[in-house]
Amino acid sequence: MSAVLAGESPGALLTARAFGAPDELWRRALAIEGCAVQLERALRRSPISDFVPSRLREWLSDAAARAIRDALAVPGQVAELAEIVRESGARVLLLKGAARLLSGEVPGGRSLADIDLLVSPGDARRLHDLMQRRLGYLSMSAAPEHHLPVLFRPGALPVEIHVQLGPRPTDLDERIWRDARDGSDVAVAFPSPTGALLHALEHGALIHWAVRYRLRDLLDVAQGWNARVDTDEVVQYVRGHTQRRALETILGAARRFADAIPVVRPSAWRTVRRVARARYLVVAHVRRPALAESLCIAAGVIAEASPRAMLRPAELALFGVRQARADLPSLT
Amino acid sequence: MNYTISPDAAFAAVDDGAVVLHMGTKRYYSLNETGMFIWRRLEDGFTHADIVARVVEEYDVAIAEAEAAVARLLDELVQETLIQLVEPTRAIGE
Repeated sequence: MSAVLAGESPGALLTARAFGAPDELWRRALAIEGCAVQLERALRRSPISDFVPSRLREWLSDAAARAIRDALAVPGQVAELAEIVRESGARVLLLKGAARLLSGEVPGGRSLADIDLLVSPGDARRLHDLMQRRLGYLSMSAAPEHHLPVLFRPGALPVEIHVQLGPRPTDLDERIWRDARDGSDVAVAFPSPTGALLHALEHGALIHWAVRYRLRDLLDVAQGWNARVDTDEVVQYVRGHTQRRALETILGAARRFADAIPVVRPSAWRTVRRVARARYLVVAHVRRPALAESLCIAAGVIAEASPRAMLRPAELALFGVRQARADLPSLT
Repeated sequence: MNYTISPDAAFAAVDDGAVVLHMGTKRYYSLNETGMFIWRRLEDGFTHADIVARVVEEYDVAIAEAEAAVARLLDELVQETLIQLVEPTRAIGE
């Protein structure tokens, strides 16, 4: 998978082994890595595209088509949301996929699970209420501490109103606003390229720590790396971070897909590969989805083998396995 | 005549037809039901003549009408570089 995503041509033996893997293993691997759309795009240009098994081709094609449909819905959904934002006077920052899409990224280049907004805690509840009353969204009943309950509406992408970027505050909560730019067409703000890149890094390390180093997060960092990103600031931010090792590993491994990224941790790709192999070993052999999900988290933590990662089982005991499993894409 | 779909073209069915997105230019094109039918046949590797025959069969139209509609759409798709015409290979000495 990673070779194709990096634009390389895997050898015949590797191709035969990969495409000879059971469909179920492919399905689980795609659920963990979260990069079916990117793989579909990369395979189109790959010399091995003719050998893709039919079931896998079908899944990838479905994922790619869904990504386009979702991407086409985003501008309209953000535009109506912006009207409410304008009326409420709240300052709202559009995050992640929707921000990248409206900043000019190719529509349908990655899947979109939802539309993420960052809003000051004082405005967040008001906006949450307005979206239900004025735009017909319905609210889920519960939410993690860093965002309000997810808003959903049939035929639209779910919306998450965040009051901070992650479960624990970081310097980025303040920093991301500093050089945010106002949208030209809509009354929401967008992170700067550096702010968006730092968010992609933290998101991969802190939000999705149960599936840390998945290919989707590495690709998000690689695709977010461009000439407008302040390399010095990113390197300094990562060096001073409490999760420095994880952030450096994501940044270093993303270099496989964007060679303009500086070398920050030469062993990064080896770590990512080790973690992925441990997870695949679990999902290839454990049939029961719930057990596979739990063991998959444990295998990833052990394979990462960093001192902080090894502390995470204690964190699991404190915060509960359920929350960690909620971060893992469902294998059912 | 044979056509291949460009690796830059991404297709998605929507409520009332389909959209084809050009990943290079970021432009997207909508296809009505007939356009979607023709695109599906291109995906299956049908030749121009085969597509015309399938359109006649599916929509019960005269062959000349189907021929004109298919040619028009395929020309547009070629112009927008969403598909490419594949030149037939010739044997040596032909």
